Amino acid sequence: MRYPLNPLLVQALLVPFILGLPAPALADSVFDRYFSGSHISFELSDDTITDTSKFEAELELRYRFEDISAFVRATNDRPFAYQRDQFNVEKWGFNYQLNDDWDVTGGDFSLVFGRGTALNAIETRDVDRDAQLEGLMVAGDLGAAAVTAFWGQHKSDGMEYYVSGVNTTDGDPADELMGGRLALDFGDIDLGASWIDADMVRFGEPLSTAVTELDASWRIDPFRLYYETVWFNRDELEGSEESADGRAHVAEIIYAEPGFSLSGSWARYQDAHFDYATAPSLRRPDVEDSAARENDETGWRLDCRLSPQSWDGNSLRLLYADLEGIELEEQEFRNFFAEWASPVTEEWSGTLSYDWIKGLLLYYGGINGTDESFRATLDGPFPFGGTFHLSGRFRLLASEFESDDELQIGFDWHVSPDFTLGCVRETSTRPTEPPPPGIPGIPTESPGRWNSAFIRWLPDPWTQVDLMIGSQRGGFQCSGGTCAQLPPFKGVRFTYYRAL
Amino acid sequence: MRSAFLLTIALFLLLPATSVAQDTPTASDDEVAAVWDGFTFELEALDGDELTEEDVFAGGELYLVDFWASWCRPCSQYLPHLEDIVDEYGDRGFKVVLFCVDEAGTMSTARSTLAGEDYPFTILFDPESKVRNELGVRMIPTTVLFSPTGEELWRHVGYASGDEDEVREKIEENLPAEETTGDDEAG
Repeated sequence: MRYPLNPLLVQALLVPFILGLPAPALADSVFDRYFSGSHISFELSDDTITDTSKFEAELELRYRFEDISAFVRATNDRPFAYQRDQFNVEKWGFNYQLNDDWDVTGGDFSLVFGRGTALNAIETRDVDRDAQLEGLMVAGDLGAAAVTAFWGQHKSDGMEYYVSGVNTTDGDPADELMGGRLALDFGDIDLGASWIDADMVRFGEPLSTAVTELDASWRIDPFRLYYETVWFNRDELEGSEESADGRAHVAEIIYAEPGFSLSGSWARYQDAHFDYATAPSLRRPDVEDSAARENDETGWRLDCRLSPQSWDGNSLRLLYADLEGIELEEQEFRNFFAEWASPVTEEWSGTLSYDWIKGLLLYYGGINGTDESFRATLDGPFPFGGTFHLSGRFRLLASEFESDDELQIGFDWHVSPDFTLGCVRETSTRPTEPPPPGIPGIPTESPGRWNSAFIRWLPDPWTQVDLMIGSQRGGFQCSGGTCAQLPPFKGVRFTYYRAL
Repeated sequence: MRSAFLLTIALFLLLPATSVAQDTPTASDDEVAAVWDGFTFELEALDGDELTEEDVFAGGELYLVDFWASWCRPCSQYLPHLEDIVDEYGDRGFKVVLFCVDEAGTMSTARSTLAGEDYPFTILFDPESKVRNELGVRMIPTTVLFSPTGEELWRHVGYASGDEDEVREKIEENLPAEETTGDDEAG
């Protein structure tokens, strides 16, 4: 939930933090000990593509004292240039340790069951996905058993051009979820069972979903096995003869010994979409089209890493993924990836990688094609002092009807551990890209060039100042397995962050 | 708007940087528990055990907490250097605690990456970013240096080649000196 604040009151509260007055006065005593983890930040951005100029601020206070911890975040910060928001108490919460075994959490909280296929109610600010709940959670540790029970609500309040990972619309009531989990620890074998009951309304229509999940893991050195299965039981759609129910399976096996690991993963998803969960994708996070197809997909992946001691710090990674639709078999994705990482000498290091993808390329309007990339990085001492990082990527896109190439070069000069200069240049012959879905009024880009430069300064261990000037390309950005499509940005962005 | 923009940038660049120098206290186990009260967690370690803050932050003289994710390239570049640093200072009570903040979706990649390297760290999985949020960490990698009583001594955001030298400097500043014996002094 979001609670508006009077802007003048907020500015008055922020002034002492801006001037740093509390820090030196209280650092050795109350503030440093009890408010560790708090931060304040500001961002000024001026985007000429959307003609949006914004000043955003955030204050997050975290408090700890013995068995109680609490936090509150007041902000109007949104990661995308076109999003405007009013200053709100956006998040709040507390945790109280009842005794050695039980604790209770109230307010906004994150909760993950298993691999997140049944419940991944977290906030990922980098891509503005917020599936957290506001309510109450109780957790207990009973030796070999751990129990969790929760109730919470979630509502995305309407904002100008606001896009959330949860698909609610203005006027719909808040989603309401409740559920629980039992986890059993038998040493090398762990078992888990979860259930969630979700009452939601989408576009004025009620949508109730009952989720049941079972998972098991087994550690038998040097192997680790994991399996998770989920049932999604939904209300029947009016007038539909097909079941609205869904199913998900995730399995993995890992073999690991010093210097070598091999993991195999398998997944199968049929109508496994749920706004408060994330189906683990077998695609790598840095692949442009990396999200799992929760509605219709099955496949497997092998991921091998070699770094034996005799290689003196060199390592090799080989990956192959093979995915296809269950009902739509032509919906395929095949990926081969190889990366060599080498500390060339103690001062120099580098990587070389090759990435090949064949399948349904959504950025070509959903037709089959290939996507090949060659990447290299190099790190070493800079002649004028400090160190540098150089990265380059050459990419070839081809389908039956068209082909394009792209080039990206980035250079960072770490003048000192506290000061970095950087620049990025990117070119592409890809046709004009459509605006992100659901975002009206965002003009498209012309194909061509994107150039940007940045300065990063860390004046002290708790402060970070960033200045970025130029144009950044729109496209997919992935963070921790969650991806979203970002609109392009052209202009100036200044950010100040201070841990209190 | 633009003139206000430039004025605001100038204001923040002139702000005094405040940092507090602190002595490095030593502590008994009771004192360690007292400082970490309220900052509680129970997370799965790489070997499958569930560890609490009392399990992790005990018995050391200086702790370096690092936040890592499998999709973060600088994070992975950093780890071999941390491994070298543990080899250099581990016998003096220096410990590294690695929090993997991969979310559930990339957890298998994270596990296979870390399991095959045999790093001399305590490695914990924090898919809900509980500890990351508790410490106000926005970008990764971020390394935070703690005294045995839980006082934050220093933090650094990001990794670039050469940053490991600054880590060594901070460790030397804050790690109790090695004890010398009478035999050593006699030479």
